[in-house]
Amino acid sequence: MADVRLDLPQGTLDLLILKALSLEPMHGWGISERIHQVSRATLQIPQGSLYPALHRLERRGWISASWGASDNNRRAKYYELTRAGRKQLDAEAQDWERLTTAVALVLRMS
Amino acid sequence: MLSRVISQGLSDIRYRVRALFFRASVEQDLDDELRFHIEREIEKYERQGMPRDAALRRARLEFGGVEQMKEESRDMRGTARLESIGRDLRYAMRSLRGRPAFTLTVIATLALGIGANTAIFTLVDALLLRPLPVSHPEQLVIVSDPEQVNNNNVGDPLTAFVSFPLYRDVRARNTVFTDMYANGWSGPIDVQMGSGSAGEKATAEQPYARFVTGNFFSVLGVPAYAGRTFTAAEDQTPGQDPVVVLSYDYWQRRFSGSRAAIGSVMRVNDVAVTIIGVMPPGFSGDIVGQPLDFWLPIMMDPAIQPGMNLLDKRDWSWLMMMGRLKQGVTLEQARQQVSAIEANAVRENLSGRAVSQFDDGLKGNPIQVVSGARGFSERRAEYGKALWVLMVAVGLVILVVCANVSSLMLARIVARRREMTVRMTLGAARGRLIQQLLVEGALLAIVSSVLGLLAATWGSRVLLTTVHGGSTVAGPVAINTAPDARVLAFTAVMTLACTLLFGLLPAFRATRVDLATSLRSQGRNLMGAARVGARVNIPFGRVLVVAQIALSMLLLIGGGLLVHSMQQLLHSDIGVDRDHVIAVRVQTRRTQYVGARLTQLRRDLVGRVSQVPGVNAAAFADHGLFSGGSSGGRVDVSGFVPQADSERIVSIDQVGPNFFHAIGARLIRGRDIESRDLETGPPTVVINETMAKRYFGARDPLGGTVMQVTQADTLRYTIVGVVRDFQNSNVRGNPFREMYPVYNNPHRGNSGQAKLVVHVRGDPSRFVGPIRRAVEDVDATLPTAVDPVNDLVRGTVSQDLLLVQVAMFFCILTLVLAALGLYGVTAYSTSQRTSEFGLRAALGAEPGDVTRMVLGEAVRVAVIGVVIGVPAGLAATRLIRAQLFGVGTIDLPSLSVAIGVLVATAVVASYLPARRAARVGPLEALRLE
Repeated sequence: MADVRLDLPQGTLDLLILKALSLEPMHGWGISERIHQVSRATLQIPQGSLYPALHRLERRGWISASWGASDNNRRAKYYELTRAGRKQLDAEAQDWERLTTAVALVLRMS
Repeated sequence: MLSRVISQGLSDIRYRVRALFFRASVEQDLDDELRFHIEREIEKYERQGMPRDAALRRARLEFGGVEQMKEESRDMRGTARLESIGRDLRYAMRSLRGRPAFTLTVIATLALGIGANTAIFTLVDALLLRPLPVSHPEQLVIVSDPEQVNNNNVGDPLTAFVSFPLYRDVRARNTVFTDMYANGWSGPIDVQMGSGSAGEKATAEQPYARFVTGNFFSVLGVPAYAGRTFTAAEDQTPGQDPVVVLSYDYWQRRFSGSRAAIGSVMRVNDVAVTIIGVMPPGFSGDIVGQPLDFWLPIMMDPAIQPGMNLLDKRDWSWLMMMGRLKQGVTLEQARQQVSAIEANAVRENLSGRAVSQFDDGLKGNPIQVVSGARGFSERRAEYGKALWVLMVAVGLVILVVCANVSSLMLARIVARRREMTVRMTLGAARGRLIQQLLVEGALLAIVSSVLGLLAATWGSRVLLTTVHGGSTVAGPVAINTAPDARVLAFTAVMTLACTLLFGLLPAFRATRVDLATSLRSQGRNLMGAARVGARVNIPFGRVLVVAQIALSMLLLIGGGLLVHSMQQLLHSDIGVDRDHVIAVRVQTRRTQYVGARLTQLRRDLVGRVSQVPGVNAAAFADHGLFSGGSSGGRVDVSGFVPQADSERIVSIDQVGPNFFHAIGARLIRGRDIESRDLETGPPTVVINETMAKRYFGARDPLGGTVMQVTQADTLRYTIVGVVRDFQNSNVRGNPFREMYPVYNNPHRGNSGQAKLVVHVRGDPSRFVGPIRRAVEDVDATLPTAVDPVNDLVRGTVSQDLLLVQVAMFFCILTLVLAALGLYGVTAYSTSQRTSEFGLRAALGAEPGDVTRMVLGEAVRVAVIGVVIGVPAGLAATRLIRAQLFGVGTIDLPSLSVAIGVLVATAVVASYLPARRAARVGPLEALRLE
């Protein structure tokens, strides 16, 4: 595997999870796969951090969990964005945009 | 924004609660979730063409440590700490159940310590801290001396307690109170149930009643529990409203809580009164510390105490006053206004010299206007100091208890040292081990405090009955000992403090393990283990024992001093033949025995009692010995010019023939009052030594005259004798000027009672029955109290008795604990040194040498404790100086007894381990290795 992997900057994992879940409810493995694919295999979520992060988000009330059947008909824990989570996502996404724009501006400085 | 914070907080709590209480299912979920993830990964790799086992390995590798991740997820739940405490709790319960002897000892010791503290605090709380159970007690203001609740005085108007006209003036003129009431002592009361005939015997019980103004209950803001309280209408016309309100306890006791009692009639001093209401349980009026049975409208006073007319007299001071502040008025504002109004009201009714005398008096004793939140209390002043002393003493006890439990815990932890070492070697955090030990401590402390609390409710009740001790004069101490929130909080704080005190120290100590040494020492050699044990643990254990002994020393010094002082109190020379005198008090029914008939009754009683075999002499008196009453007045003495009005004041007790003979007092000059003095000639008087010295100096008092000046007239007495000073009401009191005029005027003096003093041969307690029967021969319907004087004296020092008995109990308790502590440490250190003793034995030491060595070490520990404890004890006794009688604060007899007892205890406690050490043979020591 010749992935060019980048380490996730601090604090972005939550944002990525929230974004992934904003499209549809997913289980943990699905979230990890989705981010991996969408980022064209650039971002690999450190799997050891995924579940603690999910539990942290659940405790904060930004996502909720329920058990459902997966596509191959096995029991899986699905996570879903709550309303508070959606607001949080918007706020964090905006922050992120502002941050990256600002960083880009500085970098383009000549 | 706020709502978001709240919803986040709520979800957080929900999540944690679920994680905590459905821990198993949450854990299962986590397992399932992770398994699902890994399986999907494996499938993914298989689809990419990997063989199954390679895919499995790859997935595992990618995923990392499953357990670590689980732990992190658990941390995310935020319940890790709680869960670990839960685990520690279960572990502690298992391990405590495994060692019942240890557990029971610790719990018993702690429960005693906590129980003792809670019991004393319950009394402190109930008597000294608790507000009255009325509405808004903080608005109440007392306008008199809050400690004088049972007094009355004829003479110049007073402000410590006041006359009824003065109360009316202050009430009408003040603008700071919404209203104010007055409450006065009732004097002796007898009660008969029903409206039946007057010949029926009154109840043996003397009820406690108060005369209150009609607004008493409304100012306090307490509604009736059943029926109603007084109305304003019942505050208008003297003698017109024969009604009574009962306390809940009296209603339960006399009427079994029957509703039918309300509306029925009972007779109070032969006046029929209708019961109109019952007050709620827990309400015993505005006086804390003494029982109360019923309240009578003050307007009924002329009917119930006939012939006194207290309602119009400005010279009869007998009422306490309480007001309720208007909204927004401060205590300071009230103080300024009310004291000015009251002083003016008094002045208006005085004239001439009396005004300046009154003003002089006010300078020394200003009118008291103080917070009434905690009500009035005589007991508070009596017992307050003693209770605080006891509180300090039990504080010391709990320190000893903690030191003791601490060393027990330490010994137990030492036994588990290997476990601690291993766990710490394996990477357990020190904090985690300390937490576990603290949880164990907390569990013990909580169980003990629950037991202690139960013991305390029982104990404080026992304390109260001990204080009362059957005395008929002192009056019982009645306080509500049901634990309130404050007591519970006290116990909780106490428990927490104990846990930290006895748990934290050993925990830190035990977890400060030098891993290398500890592990090495497990390889056995002859002396190694003992040395490590000795170095790490014993000095600390010794420190705890020294502390216990020093604290016990402190308590023993105080206790010894109190006991010695008590002996002095109970056996000191009070100027009368205290071991052979009996005091008799007969309650006479007012309507039946008045004037000449009362005089005749007194004579009949003396005559009949004198005939009892074994009785030397009997005499009657207005007050007699230790009856709780006293009178005073102003006199002018021939040849003496007073410099100030206060120099004219003397104590007065009118006595019958043979009085001084009957009490065994010594006449220094002249003669006793005799029968002939009753009949004719000028009235005679005997004065005491102090009075003779003050007014006559070197002159001969015999034949001199004393003129007693009263409102109505002036009485002129001729002095016929001088008696050596004796105590008639307070063992501790300093002698005062006293005079004993002959009792020959039936219309003067204390009515409603006939008091006798009887001198007997032999043990006075044997005469109680015969004298009572003699009184019944005269009139069987009169309630009568017959008490040896020594019993009455004991009643007057009941607060000292409380102090002594409780202090003794604590001394013994701490002594036993200190002995246990010393025994434990000695036993432990000798058991650790078994091999050393074996070696010594092998090298030729005699058993006696080893015993002496071990005993010597224990005694050394005790002596260090004594050396620290004695100065501390001597310094602390300053605290109880006020309670002492006839002993200095440095009292060699009791001090040497205390030291002796302590050292003897130390020897006894260490003797067994010393004996055991001496029996160790060389072979036994080797076998151990």
